[in-house]
Amino acid sequence: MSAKAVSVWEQCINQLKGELTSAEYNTWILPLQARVDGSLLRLLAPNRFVLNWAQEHYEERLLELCARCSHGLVLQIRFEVGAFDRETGGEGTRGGGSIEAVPGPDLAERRASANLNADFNFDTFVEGKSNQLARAASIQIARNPGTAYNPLFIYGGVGLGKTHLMHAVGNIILASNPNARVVYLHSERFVAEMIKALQHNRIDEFKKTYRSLNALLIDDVQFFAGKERSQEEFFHTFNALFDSRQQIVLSSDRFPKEVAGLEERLRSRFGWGLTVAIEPPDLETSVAILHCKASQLGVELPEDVAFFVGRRIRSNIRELEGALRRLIANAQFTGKPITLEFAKHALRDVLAAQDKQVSIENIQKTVAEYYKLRTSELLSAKRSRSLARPRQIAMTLAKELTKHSLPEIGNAFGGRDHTTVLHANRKIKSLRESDAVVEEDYKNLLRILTS
Amino acid sequence: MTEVQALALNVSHPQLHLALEFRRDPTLAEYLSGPNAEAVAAVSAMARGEGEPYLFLFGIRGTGKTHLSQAACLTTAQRGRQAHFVPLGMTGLEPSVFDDLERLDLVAVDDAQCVAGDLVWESALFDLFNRLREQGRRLIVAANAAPDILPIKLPDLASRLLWGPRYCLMPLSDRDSEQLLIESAHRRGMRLGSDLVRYIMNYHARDPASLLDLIARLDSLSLREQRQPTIPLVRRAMRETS
Repeated sequence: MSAKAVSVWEQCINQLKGELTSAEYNTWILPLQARVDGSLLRLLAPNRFVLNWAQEHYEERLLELCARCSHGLVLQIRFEVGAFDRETGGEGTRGGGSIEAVPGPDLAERRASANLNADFNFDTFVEGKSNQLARAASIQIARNPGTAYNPLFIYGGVGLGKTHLMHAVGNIILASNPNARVVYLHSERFVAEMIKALQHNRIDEFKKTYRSLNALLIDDVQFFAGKERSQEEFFHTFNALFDSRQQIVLSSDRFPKEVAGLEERLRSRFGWGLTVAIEPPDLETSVAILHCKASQLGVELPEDVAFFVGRRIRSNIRELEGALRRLIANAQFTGKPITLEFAKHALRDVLAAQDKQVSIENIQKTVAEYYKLRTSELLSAKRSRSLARPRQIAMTLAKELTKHSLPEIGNAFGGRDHTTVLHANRKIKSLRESDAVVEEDYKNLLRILTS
Repeated sequence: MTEVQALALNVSHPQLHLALEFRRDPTLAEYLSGPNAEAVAAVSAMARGEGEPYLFLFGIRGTGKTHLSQAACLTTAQRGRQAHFVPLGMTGLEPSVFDDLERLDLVAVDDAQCVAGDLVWESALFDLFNRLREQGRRLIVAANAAPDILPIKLPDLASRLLWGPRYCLMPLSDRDSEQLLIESAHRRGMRLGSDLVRYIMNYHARDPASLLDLIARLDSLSLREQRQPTIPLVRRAMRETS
């Protein structure tokens, strides 16, 4: 921004500031960048919405103020979408074009073009029973892209490491082949980029870019649901890459056949290669993940603290990381060592919300809804199989997720004895090993209750 | 703007006076941290382009979520970087307000509870979160409830909102609120005696936003009438507030 522009614009907005609320100012004026070209003040907004709003509400007033602050030199304002380059003062492009994977010696630059995060690699991915197959398959395709499994389809609940694995695959392919063109992106971005390309008459360029990649990693394909034009384009991209034996990695929150709102031809293609699931981590894996993340942040986490956090936060890895970051920030801020007592105190906000969520009543309600029963049936004395099994699952969940004593749990289930709770717990434990339906139901309920 | 400038403007543009004096930039220094010092430190670090990539602020009304979010944006801008404050409670907003914001250094999204349960907005916020993260930009989200209590429908967004430290902003104690009154008045060149402080604390809403609002109006009245605050002046400022 030139000195003249700074001066005129700053005077101008200093005046305007006084006339607006701080919310208005920070929302519509703060993100604008200014430059004076002769008698023209160019104002760059980050997007069309901000541009339209600022123009509609403030153009007239800004024009008056500019004329006054520049002593009649600036008489025109032009609003544009864009950004001036901070360092050079040159103009940046906006929208599209950022996905070009340019071969070259600079890995960091290529990684940025591919939207890949260097921190997401196989070294920082903690292996456990819940994810070992997905990890092994990812390593395979990272080493042999396009030949091992194509596509690799990773599915599982939110925050369990799907994105991490995809980045890890992309990072290896990029690092092992200096000419590899790799792109990671979220399906929503694919849709947005395509729409932008259509709007700007650049759809051929878009097609060419995506269809000439060596690896395409698309996260959360369930967001393609109902977007027919995007599905059509993705279908052709998929075919082009598949036919030329380029690697495709996809992720979703569910099994390919269960993704609603997707065309059958896409769904079936998603299942052509290898489909692997990631399950929520067991306690030991959660603890290992916490240690790994803590060490990345330069902190050594005592074992009892890791178990405490891992036991309390069961839903997903993002939440584990969120809690850990809060704990470390607190320790750094107060200068105290991270002990179990300290962790309990520091995480009280986080844990209070957890406690609030997982009560025996909540478990009963959730289990009853899941099995399409009434809560009263779950608590009744009836012992038919269709009631007994959900009841036993609910009791087991209550033992697992709350701090209530077994007599309390038994009491909350229609005044049953604590030995009934113990029996239920043993029964469900053994059924989870022998009956896939029970195992699936239990995991689903655990996820519903803890996320 | 200094008081002298305001006074000068007052003379030539009396009709603008109230609005002009009412507006003050929310600053990080001005936020009386009290029980929230750690949150303030975390937000300040982000405004300097350091610290966490993302954090979540929550708390009841008047705990300063909006103040901190805006102050972070202004501080970022003062350091020559770009920021955008997006208050989701503002009428007329559309999800395209999030377009291309991953080019900015910091985005602060306030009142996230206003879009919880709306799948279109939730998807837009989810997409913004991903884009900012991919580009290594910073994000502050503020709401009136913890991220796992908000009725978010999109599990993908819910899990992302949990992906960073969350800070529950606590209300100031009465003692801290009195301190806030005195400091805020002092910054505006006013002296508030203990009788006035007590009067305000007894008769006025005690959340920081209401107190700062009252001080701004009191300052305006005091300037207009060229006298230091008194109980009758405070009463008039309260009537204007209500």
